[in-house]
Amino acid sequence: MNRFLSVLSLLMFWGYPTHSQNYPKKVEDKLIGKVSYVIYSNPRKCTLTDTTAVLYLNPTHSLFVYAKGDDHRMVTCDKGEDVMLLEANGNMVLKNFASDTLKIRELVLTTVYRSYEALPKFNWTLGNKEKTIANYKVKNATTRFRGRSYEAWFSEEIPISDGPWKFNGLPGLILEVYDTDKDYFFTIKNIEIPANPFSEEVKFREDGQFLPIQKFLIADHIEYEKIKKESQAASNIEIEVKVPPRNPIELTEN
Amino acid sequence: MRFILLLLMAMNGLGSFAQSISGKVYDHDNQPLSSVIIKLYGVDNQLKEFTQTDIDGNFTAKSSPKDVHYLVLSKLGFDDFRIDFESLTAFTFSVQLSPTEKPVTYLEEVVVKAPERLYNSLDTLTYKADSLRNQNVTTVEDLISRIPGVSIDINTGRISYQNKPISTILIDGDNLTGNNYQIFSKNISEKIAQEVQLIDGFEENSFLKQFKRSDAIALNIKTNSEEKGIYSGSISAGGGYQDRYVGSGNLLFLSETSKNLLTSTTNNLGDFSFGQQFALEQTTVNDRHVKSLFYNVSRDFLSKINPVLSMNYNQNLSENEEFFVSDNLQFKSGKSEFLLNSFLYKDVLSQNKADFFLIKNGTEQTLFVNTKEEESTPSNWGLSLNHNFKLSDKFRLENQLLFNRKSFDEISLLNLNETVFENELGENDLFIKSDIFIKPSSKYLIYSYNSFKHSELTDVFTLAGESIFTPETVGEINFFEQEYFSKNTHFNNTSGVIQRKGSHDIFEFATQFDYHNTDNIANNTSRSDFKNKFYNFSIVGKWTKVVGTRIFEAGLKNTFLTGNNLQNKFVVLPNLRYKWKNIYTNFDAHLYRELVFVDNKYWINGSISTGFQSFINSSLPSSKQFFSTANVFKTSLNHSLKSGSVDLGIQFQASYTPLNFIPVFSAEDNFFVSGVLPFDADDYSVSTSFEISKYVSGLTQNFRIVPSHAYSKTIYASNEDVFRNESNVFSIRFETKTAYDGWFNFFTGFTFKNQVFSDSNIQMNEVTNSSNHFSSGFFNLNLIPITNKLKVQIQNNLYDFNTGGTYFYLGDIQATYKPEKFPLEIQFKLKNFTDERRFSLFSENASTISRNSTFVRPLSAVLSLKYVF
Repeated sequence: MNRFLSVLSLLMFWGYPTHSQNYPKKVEDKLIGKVSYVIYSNPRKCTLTDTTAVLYLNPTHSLFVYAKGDDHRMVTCDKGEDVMLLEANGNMVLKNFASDTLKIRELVLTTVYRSYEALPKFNWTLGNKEKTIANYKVKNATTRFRGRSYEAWFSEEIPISDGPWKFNGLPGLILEVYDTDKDYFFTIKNIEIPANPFSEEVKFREDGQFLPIQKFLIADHIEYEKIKKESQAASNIEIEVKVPPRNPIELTEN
Repeated sequence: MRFILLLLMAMNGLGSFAQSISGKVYDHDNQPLSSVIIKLYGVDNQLKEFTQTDIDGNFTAKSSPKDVHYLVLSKLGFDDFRIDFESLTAFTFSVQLSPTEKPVTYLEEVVVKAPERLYNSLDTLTYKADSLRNQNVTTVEDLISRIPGVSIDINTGRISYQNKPISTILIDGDNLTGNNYQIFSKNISEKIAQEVQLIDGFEENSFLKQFKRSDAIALNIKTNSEEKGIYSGSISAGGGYQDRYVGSGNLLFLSETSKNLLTSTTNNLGDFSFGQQFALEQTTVNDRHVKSLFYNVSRDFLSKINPVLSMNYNQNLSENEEFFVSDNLQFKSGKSEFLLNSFLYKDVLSQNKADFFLIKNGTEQTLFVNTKEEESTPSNWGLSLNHNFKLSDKFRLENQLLFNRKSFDEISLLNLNETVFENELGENDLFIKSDIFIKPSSKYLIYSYNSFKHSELTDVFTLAGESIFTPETVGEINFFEQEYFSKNTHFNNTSGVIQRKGSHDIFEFATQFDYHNTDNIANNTSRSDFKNKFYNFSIVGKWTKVVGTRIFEAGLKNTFLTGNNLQNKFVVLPNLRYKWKNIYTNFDAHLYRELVFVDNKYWINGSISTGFQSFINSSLPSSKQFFSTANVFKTSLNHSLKSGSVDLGIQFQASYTPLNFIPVFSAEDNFFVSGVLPFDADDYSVSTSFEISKYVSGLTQNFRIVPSHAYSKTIYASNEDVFRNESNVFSIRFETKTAYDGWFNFFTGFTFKNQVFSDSNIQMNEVTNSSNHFSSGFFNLNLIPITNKLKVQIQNNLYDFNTGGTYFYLGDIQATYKPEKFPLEIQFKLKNFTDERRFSLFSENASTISRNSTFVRPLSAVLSLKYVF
């Protein structure tokens, strides 16, 4: 077992803030649909690990909630064990199509960070391939976004220009999208339009530490530095904190 | 249906000058409607552009109005609204959408279950080893054989997955055995495996993935060796009749930092530790003694900068001075990778090979050098040099040089130059490829291959003053030339292709010129004396037009040959395709006419063939939990007339093909049916074939998974080897052919519960002439499990019968007995040693048939025990 994982396993049980704030945007208002995806991701060059995610839709907003869970998951890979971080409220991406903005909130190691950016405009190139996913006829489209090339499969039968994570801008709901390196793979699991009644609270949580988007993209670096300093300050000895390989979904700023 | 109100508000009087299309969308309460998807379609019904309304219901499209045929407005909860553009005079307008009267739940809930037992990471299928285990599984090979779609050749141990051979087996990602993975799969216990992964598109050097797409499939056995050391292996020993002996030992040791595989064997049966494939090629000598040592180690050194250094060293020694040594040195740091690979194999084939890679952080800079030396006999040597040099993201330059000397009296120089400039990001492609083949010797050969492709054309074709192609036309010119020049033959082929794609037109034009000059007289060096000389000029043109949902295609091909023979051929290829909903119909009519002049005489051949195809795509109800389905039903009837012969055939094919191999479909609904009934009157042959398979996912069902595509192809190819290894539920093939000689083929296969129950191959050849009749047969009974514990293999049996007598040649027989829940295997081998593996049994001398072979068949038997730990 690598030493950094031991450090991690100690650190991961540190609490993180659960501030109570006002949540001005309620996605459950006029909720028109709820779409579930399975995400296969490999954020640390360990192994593809699956998690579920939900896209909540209303006329002007969509909220994508992923990596939601009460406990972290251990993942076994070639280089040892890794931790799939799950957060009680889930990581969130809120797309506001009225103001063309996007908010993101993510647990990075021990801290919840959030950020804000203009709604990404994907430069999609429509392909001519067709297939069927979950009884929906889908067409392919390709794009490049922040260092990765993606292929998406969207259905014109569902005229919602949205998709998992930050993806949007196709003439139909994206049912499947993956990067060409196959490190990130989103596929449809369940479609409920209109959504069945449910009691859970669906809100974008404005808690956590705000970072500009440029720093948010490298928040794991910031977090490791912070852990290193805090660990050394606490133990007064030099502790080696080894940074595992990075393989984030966004490789570049642009 | 509620009312739909379409308000047209001409913003200017001359709509044809409008440069864009814009508008505003309201709902039935006159409230602006946001997130309405507006799709703009061209005349060819292809989606040209799409946009959506903003929060105020406004939208603007970029397309020029003259290129737009109609718009479709879509919004969840509202009916789709189509606006035909031909009727419009203005391009700024308002639209009111009406709520749909369809049930609000018209998007039915679809639940796609995530794979449970195995998960799929696009290129990799992962099976939990526990789900593959049962009481009969002892070795890694046993474990692999339980994977649906995997078949193992009992003779060679080679593993295939869905008809494609497995290239290698990795152990925790490392290749310890090269291509001779049988050492590992047959001798190592299944207990080491935690997961078995099938990796499609496997490329051993990960950086090479940037250059090429591999078709190889590899297996990766994942172990838990990083937590503790793992030992596994096997020992076997035995002896028998005629002083035969066999002994072997294999040891695998995996730890956190190294992987070691030691294999040794000694025997006088001719069995190599590399697996029987080598043995089959080499065991042509009686009493071959084999001693081999195979050692492979892979070691990772971890340090702060995280480089990985791994080294593989393979050595095999035998008494016949055959050996190979393989070194693999790999160094990785954060931003660069270096790989040196050398391979030396003596006696049978000697070659040195070195690869050098330097990659700086992904695609920014890449240098790839590959050198190879080949030596097949002491007097033969060669050198090949490959360079792949990637200058930047946009351009790639490749060079390849190969120099070869085959023997003293023939020197060949092979010079392959390939230059590729690629602009991956831009829209313009420039592709230049040049290959040169030079073989200077007494029989010299010059071969050149040039290809040029340029895909940006700016000129516009016009016909009768009207533009045929829109400015968005994509054009392509391909030029191809090859020249083959040797002492006796000069062949030149030049061809060019022009293709232009308009928004609703596709035009293709191709020419080909062949010059062929061959001298049939030996040692004649004068090129003017070539006896066969002809020129061939062909023109092919095809025009495709899209009208609504219909597609018309028309083409003409004309070939003109001149030279010793004068021929004129033409083929007319009208083709009509029509699509209605999910049904495609295709009508082909071929008119073929041939005029042949030979020795001042001529023949006229003509044929007409028509075809009809329909493709039906349908999806099953969601309750079946299919990811996707595509059904193909195709019929065709061909009829052709030639002088003096009649061809009549009918082909029928029905297949049911899951598009995605993701095992969530239910077993009951998967099957594949295929039949072919060709009838050939020329040589009076009848061939009937029919196949039925059943697809299953997961491991709980009985039958294997086979891609239906492979089957549909092989049926028409009449490949005799198709069914032998691919039998799923039941496959049978029967063919007869009667002419001057006759032969008879019979293949059966039966698979039950994912194990080969019977895989037999029976072939009979029958030859009859006026005074004699003889026949020979061959059958290979690969594996018969007498019980779960006892399996018998019989191979290479030859049966001969003629008017002079009957002979039966017995091949090798092998029987294995493996008790349940005990890793001991008792193996009995009856081996047949003979100098001749190929028989020339009969020679015909006037009316007498005599046997010219005397068979010496020293039989030997060995009983051995094998223990896998």
